[in-house]
Amino acid sequence: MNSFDHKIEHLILLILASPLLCASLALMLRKFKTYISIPIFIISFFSSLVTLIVIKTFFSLGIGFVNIELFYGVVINLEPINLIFITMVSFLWSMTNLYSISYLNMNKEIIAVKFYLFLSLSIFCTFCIALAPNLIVLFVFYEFLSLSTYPLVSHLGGDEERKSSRVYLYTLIGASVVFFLPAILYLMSHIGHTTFAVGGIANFLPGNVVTVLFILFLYGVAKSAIVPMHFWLPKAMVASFPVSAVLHAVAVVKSGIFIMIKISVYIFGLKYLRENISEFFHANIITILCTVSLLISSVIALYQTRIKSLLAYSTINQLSICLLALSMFHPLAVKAAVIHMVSHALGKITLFFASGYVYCNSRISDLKDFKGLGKKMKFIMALFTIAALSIIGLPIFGGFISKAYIYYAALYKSVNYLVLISLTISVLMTAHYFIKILYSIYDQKSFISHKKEEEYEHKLLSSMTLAILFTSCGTVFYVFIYEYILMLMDLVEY
Amino acid sequence: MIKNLVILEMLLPILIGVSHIVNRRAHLVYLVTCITNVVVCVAAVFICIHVFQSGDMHYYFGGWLPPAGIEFKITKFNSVITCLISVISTATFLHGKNVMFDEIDISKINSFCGVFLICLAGFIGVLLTNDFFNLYVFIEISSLASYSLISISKDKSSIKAAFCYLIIGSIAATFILIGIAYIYSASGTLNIDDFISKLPNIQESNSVRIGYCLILVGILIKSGLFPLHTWLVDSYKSTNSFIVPFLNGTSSKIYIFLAINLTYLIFGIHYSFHHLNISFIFGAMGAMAIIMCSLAALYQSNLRNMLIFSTVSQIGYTFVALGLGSKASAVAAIMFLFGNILAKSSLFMLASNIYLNRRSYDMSKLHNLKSHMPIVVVLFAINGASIAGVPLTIGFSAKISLIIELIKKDMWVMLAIVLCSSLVAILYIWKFMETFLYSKAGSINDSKRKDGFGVYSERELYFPLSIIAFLTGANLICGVFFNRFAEFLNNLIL
Amino acid sequence: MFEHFPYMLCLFVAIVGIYGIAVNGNYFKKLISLGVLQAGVIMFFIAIAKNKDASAPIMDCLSFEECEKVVANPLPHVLMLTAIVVGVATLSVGLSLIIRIKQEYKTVEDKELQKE
Repeated sequence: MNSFDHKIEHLILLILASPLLCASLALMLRKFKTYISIPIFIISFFSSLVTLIVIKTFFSLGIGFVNIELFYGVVINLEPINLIFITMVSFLWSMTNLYSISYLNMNKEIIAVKFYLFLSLSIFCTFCIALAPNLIVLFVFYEFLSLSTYPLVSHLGGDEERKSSRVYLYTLIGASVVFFLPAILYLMSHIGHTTFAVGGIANFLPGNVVTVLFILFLYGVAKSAIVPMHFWLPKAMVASFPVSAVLHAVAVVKSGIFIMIKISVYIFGLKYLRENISEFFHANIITILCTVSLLISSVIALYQTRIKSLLAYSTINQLSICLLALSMFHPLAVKAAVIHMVSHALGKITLFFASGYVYCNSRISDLKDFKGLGKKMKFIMALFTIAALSIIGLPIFGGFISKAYIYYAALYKSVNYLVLISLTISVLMTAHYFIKILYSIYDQKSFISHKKEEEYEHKLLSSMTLAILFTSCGTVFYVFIYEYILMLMDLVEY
Repeated sequence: MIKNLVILEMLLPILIGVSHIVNRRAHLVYLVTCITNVVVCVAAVFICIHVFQSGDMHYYFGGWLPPAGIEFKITKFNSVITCLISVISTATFLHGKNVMFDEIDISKINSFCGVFLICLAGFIGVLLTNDFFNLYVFIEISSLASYSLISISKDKSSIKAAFCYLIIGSIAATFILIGIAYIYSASGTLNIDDFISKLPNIQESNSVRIGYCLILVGILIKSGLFPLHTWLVDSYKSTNSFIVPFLNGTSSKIYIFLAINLTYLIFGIHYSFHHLNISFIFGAMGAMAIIMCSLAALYQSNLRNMLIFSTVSQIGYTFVALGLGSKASAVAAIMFLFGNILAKSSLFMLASNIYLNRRSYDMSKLHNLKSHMPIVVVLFAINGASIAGVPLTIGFSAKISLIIELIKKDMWVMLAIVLCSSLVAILYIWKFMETFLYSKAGSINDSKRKDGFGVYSERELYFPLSIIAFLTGANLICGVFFNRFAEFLNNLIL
Repeated sequence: MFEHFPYMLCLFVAIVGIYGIAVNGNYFKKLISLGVLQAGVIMFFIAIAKNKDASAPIMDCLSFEECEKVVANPLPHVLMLTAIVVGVATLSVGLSLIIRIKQEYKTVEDKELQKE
């Protein structure tokens, strides 16, 4: 046990050190702008391999929850949900670094040093959120995540970026100060500490207090983009494509979902939440709030004309589905939420990468200009199609497995009609707007020839293509990945 | 030997200050004053260490024992605040050479430094004395000196403001004197320790009640609580930039220290909060201060005025914390005090440096500061974060201690006020940060423009900025190790 | 009722002083009202010091045995000497400020100064 402990400590330190190393590399190699991308990619890929080793070591430990002291005073929490989240984030971060190698070459207006510096710092904050032992440390890194993603969102510095990034910052920090912080401090004052523990620490508070607290957490963690607090996400789309891909499809939004899962499982305890959250017409109030969010975001997504805002609202939709799954509050529901979290991350990042490829190629960002692209960029559009079908939930792709699991969880023991109905409506609406795009992509009649772009095709056989290929493979082969996720989730002690 | 350091602390500044009358050479005066400040600072630190090791220290003037004689009593609380005051005074002087020679007429510098030292001596006397009437005398010494200091400025309206401050300050001091009269008539002693021992016998006496209230009103006027804050705003607005960090760190803060002393240590929690109900007054006035002054700060376009209104709203927070009537809330109030002294004085010093570069405090002239003075912008960000309540600073620890106490006492309206005004604080600090980061045309990447700006470039200001960096570092250290800091403060009040 | 008369009188003087500060528009008059306020407070202290049938706390003779008489409490008298000095200092600072105001603004009336 002891030797394993030390090994895990060193591995975790390696994982935490790698984004810091990337950030300092970016600062030190300021003069050699073109050469910083490749070492940073190698370091991030290395860290993602290390996370796999950590998972393997964790398996051999056999327990589902452990607090490890890294060095003097710094304690971290290790349990399956953490590890899944860290693995997902670090793999997708390395894919983004791979993608950015070519993207930054094609788009000279992005300053490489600033980009890599703040990206690495944001990923470091995400790792710290993942490993936080208690809610106060979590809150500190949550705030730092908002602050360190700000320079990436406002990178280009124009007027529109300034206004959008202002809304971004105000919404995130405002919601966390007004809702998240008092809820944490309420727990702190009534329990004395906010350390995560198996079975929950707040399971003696009266029922209506728990409902109010959970709703405060739900709206306070605005990173999970539930509808009244979702305004920052479409505004954040002024950022460049790699930033939108990794932060606003993977790191930032998924950390919101991750925090909600951790709070449900380790602060309140699932059994306690099941019994005590108020009901409203035979349905859990949290389920109702998530359904409202889901419906509103689906409807807004139907009216979007730009690819990035469509993907943003689609992300809000899928995050509400994760929260919907979580709101059923039993172990199967938590597994469903985690599986959906990972599959959506893979699919959405592929979509963002592909759209970024299209943008680099011909500066297209409106959906109406996507007509006929299927003929021009066959390979990339094929991967785009695969990812879109996965998000819709077509069988054999990742999204199907996760949505099927949510249905399975809704039918467990007692049928949860609200979840079934809202999930179906969401799937239908998602199908609507994505199939509309796919139809226009493969529309043979409106193939317009762009001579210039054919030259670019050769140059772009590049890291971007590789990255898109890897992530879409993740979507396709999700059948195998999710088995491992389930094996890990079986270790969780509720 | 150590005992003599006590009297040296108070006497040396007076002697040197008076000696400046004969000295006409401005640079020599500046040097001698700096040395005096450093000596006082070192003496304060020695005394502080001695008190922490050996307990309370008493210095009897002329060998006459109390209650017949006047004494200085140095407790842990006193000594720490004395250290802070002397550090701020030294920092102001070491940092402010450019500012002083820029704003004050060379022929007046010797009298300015002389009066400054007398003011410092007065403040130290207020902190250390254990006798009511001696307290009044030192209050008047320091107030008279500060009236004169404020009137020296290039702006004509500083004289009006100084006169207004004189009238209001003298009324406040007279109230304190009447209060002392009532307390003396009821208890027969002027020595504070003696009075504390006599208090249980005379608790029911009306004279004691009236005396307490009158002294409290005088202290509230002097500390600048909401309806009685106009003198503070007017005088800091128009006075020279050199003195503002010093006055901000000392004048209103020392009276807040006196308020804590009076309500928690001299009269005790039971008398102040159960016998007389001052929690309502503190809470109501503090809440009004927070709301009105945060909103006023939001609408300021002048950097210095924004900081002044921000100071007054922070005083509101401190009094809300004091009004809660428990030891933990007094600790929260002291944390606000520390945070305000360190961060706000640093912000005022930074503002004076910005003025040296841009020759204006107006927001429209401060665009794109980050390309001309990047270090200033970073320090502004960190100190502004302390005011706004971003984690890892003293401001954050103070806010969460206050919020935990409010939650424990179920004061939901006050909690909502504190949270919403934290939001407003973030907004007004962020407004200026945004101005610093973006240039007027709206583009963040504008290169260094030479528009004939400023007399001083940043390179000439490295030494003053290092002083500010030292204060900022102290702020960050106390913020990061906030558990130990909270224990340390708890130890102070006992 | 009549026991408290001296104290009420002194505080009345103080209140007249505060009223004067609030109501007067001329800065000079404000300063003089400040002096009246301080005078009221000083009288209050002296009023506290008096004992029944007491005379002024001045020693006519060389030691206490020779002239035993009831004297008022000397401590407040002494404190008030200090307070008078403080009052004089305040007055002088105030007057020098008024001189500077007059130099800069050519007036010491509150209404006209507010317009600037």
